[in-house]
Amino acid sequence: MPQRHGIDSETNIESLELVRLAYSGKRWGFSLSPQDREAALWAMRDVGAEELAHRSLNVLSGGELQRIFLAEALVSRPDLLLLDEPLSNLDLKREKDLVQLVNRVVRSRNVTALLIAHNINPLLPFLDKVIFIANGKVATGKPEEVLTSESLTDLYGVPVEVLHDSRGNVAIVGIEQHHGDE
Amino acid sequence: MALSVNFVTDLQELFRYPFMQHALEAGTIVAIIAGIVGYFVVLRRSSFAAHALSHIGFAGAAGAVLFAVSPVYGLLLFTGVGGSAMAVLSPRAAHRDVHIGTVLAFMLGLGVLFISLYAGNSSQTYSILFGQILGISSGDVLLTLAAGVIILAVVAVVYRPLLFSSLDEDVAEAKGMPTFLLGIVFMLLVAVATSIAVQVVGVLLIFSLMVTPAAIAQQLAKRARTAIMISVTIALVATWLGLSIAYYGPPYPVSFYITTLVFGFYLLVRFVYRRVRPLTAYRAALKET
Repeated sequence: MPQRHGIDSETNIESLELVRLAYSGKRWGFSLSPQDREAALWAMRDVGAEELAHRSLNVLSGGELQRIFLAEALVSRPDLLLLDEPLSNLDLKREKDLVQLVNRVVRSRNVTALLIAHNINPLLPFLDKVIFIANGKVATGKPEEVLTSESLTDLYGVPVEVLHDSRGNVAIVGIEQHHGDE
Repeated sequence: MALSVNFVTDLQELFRYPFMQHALEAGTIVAIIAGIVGYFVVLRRSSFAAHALSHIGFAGAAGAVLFAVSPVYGLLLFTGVGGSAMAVLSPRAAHRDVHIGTVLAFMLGLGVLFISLYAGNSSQTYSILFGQILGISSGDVLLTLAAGVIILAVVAVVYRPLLFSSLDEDVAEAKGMPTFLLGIVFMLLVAVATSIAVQVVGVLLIFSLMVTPAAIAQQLAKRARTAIMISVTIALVATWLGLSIAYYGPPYPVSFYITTLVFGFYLLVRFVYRRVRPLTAYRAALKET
């Protein structure tokens, strides 16, 4: 799932056809078959997009498109799902929905997802492993090992704090440096 | 030639002269091919590449005339080489404009040089630029047919992968599809289609068959196969009607009639259909409730 798709307001193609092609497009030849229709509808159902099947791609909202693109990536039953900044254009609600959706789909299908994001906070509840890349340095490991105030401060080169609230939520924030605070 | 009230005799009359037969035969093949290839051109947003290829073909055709060879061979050679070069040099379809424009300008310059070197009459140049459907020989028809059959066969083989990589190149690549190869195949399809379409509408009017019918079809249908059928139908109707009007009506250039008819369809869909469609959808929704 690339960050930017070539699909835009000019692409008047129904979403079912895109997902079907994602399933059988690799094979040479002419016609779409009943199998790819089945596979496509099943993938779309899994991402909760079956009601979008006959809608055209150019009338879908950003969140709806992301679900179609997720179905497009899932339909060929990959072992590894690569998601490049899937949260970049979504508001808070849609962001949360999509992360939960990816989490659900990935676990129910036993797929590994490599999800790239700039803001890690919405992902925190679902992570198995983190690869943190900043300033040419890499920190990798389980979230509780990597995501500590010390290691992230070291990585970014600016003070970072990992906060835990009363409900067990975790958030990572950059801390303002207060000069003359002593 | 005047129209009679009998439609059948009118149709027979259209086929009376060999030049009209050849025009109808070649025009039909070209319309089908251009309608199909054009859909992929529109889907890939490569209409500028298609436009440029026809201009590159112009240099080839002018060169062929200079060396006393049939222009179509010059067209095939130049568009084939030019199309492959475009696909190889810049593998990402979306970012080709600057490279294409650079080559395009140089090729037009080359074409001008060939024309000035060619001492003969300029009617051949004119027919390359604007098409000369009424000057098609039986040999040209056979060549057009052969090229058309080859294009159809190739499209039948690459249809699915080409459609998907045209729609979503990044994902196609991530899924391990040969997008680079498909890019080259696509450009060669456009090259051959352009070369045969030049006979009908000429280098400068190629858009009217290669891009506009497909662009109209894309507005009307959201399934690829339906859109391709609509695109072919529009190209066919415009070509046949254009020829008939030129035969029975005022004897202006056929390519003028074809481009005007296609433009008429475009206006109709763009401004009339788009207003009517939301209304019918609204009425259908009202009925349901």
